[in-house]
Amino acid sequence: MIALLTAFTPIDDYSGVLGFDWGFLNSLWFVWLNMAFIIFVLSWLLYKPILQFLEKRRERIKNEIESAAENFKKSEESKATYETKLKGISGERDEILDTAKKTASAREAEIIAAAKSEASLIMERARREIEQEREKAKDEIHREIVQVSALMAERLIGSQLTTDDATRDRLLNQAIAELGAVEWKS
Amino acid sequence: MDFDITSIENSGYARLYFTDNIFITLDDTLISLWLIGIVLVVLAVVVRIKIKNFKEVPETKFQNIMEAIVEFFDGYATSIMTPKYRFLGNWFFGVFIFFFFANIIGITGLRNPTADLAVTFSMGLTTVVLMQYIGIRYNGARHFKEWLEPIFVFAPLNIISDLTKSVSLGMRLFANILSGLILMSLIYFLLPWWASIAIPGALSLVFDIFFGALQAYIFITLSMFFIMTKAPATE
Repeated sequence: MIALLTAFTPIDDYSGVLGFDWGFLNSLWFVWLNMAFIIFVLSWLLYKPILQFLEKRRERIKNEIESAAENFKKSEESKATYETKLKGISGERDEILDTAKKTASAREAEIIAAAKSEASLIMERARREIEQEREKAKDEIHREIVQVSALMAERLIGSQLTTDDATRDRLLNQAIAELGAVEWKS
Repeated sequence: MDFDITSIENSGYARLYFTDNIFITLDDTLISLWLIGIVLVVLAVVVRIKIKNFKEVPETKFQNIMEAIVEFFDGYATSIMTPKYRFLGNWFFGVFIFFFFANIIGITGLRNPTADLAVTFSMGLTTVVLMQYIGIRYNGARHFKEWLEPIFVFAPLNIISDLTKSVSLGMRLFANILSGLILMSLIYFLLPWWASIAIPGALSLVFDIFFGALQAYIFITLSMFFIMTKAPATE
């Protein structure tokens, strides 16, 4: 502060606060050199290294983000391919199921048809057997009737031979009852 | 080269003569400039040593503060000068830090170096030189053609307009800081001792710190804008 007050009092050739003379011109270059040195040191030792440090870090982070984005893109791509593949697989599965269903239904129809035909065959056979049995039974009945007739004839003849009315009637009735029993049976 | 001790007796300043007309005056400006220089050079050396311990993820406050300052300044310089002229940020960072310290050193009672026109005017002249350098390097012959616009008669005016940028920059900073200095000295001088504790402190906050930081900021901002006027208009 004292220096400031003295600065206002020009002594000798000192210009004080403001003056354009040799003193000013000389302090201009000398002060510039001093400041340039300070500024150079600041920029060389402080600004540049920190800036480079920051730049390096920024570069590294940028690279990492880029590589992460690239990896993400790659994974997306592979995911897409897998998805399309999966979609294809589901289509394939549907196809397989379809064909399986078709073959199954065809096979089903075949089996049913075969079963039906077999059943009809069995039925036919059974019917034929029944028919045969019936024929056989008929034959047997005929035979029985013939036998019974023969028996009756035999009895009749026999009774006539006895000429006893009561015995003949008994025999006849017996024969008729026997015949009835036979007819009942069939 | 001889040391003129008589001038110390006359004005309080010593002078180092190289010839009759080339001499160095050892005045307050140089002393506080050297003090600031020592502080800043030590700071720079400390940073240079400590940067080896800087981690990718900042761990110390010192690293955080340094990174914040440098990153902020780099972003600011790049936003004004475009990334192409980003290298000029190297110079202006130094100018800004130096002027910032030079402007607020008034609070210690030392004379601000920036209250000397030689300091601010020489920096203004440097800006003018940088303007011409950028103009010639990136505009070539067009840089000189621009002096003849709109017609050749205007050439002297254009050249003077370029040169007076240094006066404009230098005078603005010098006058602001000097006015603050004078004001603060007068307040200290006029106030009785019991009032000279709180009031000058508050005013010193405004005139020394706030205006100091503001003027350093204005100086480099205007310098960068002036330089960009000489750069090619389109990238």
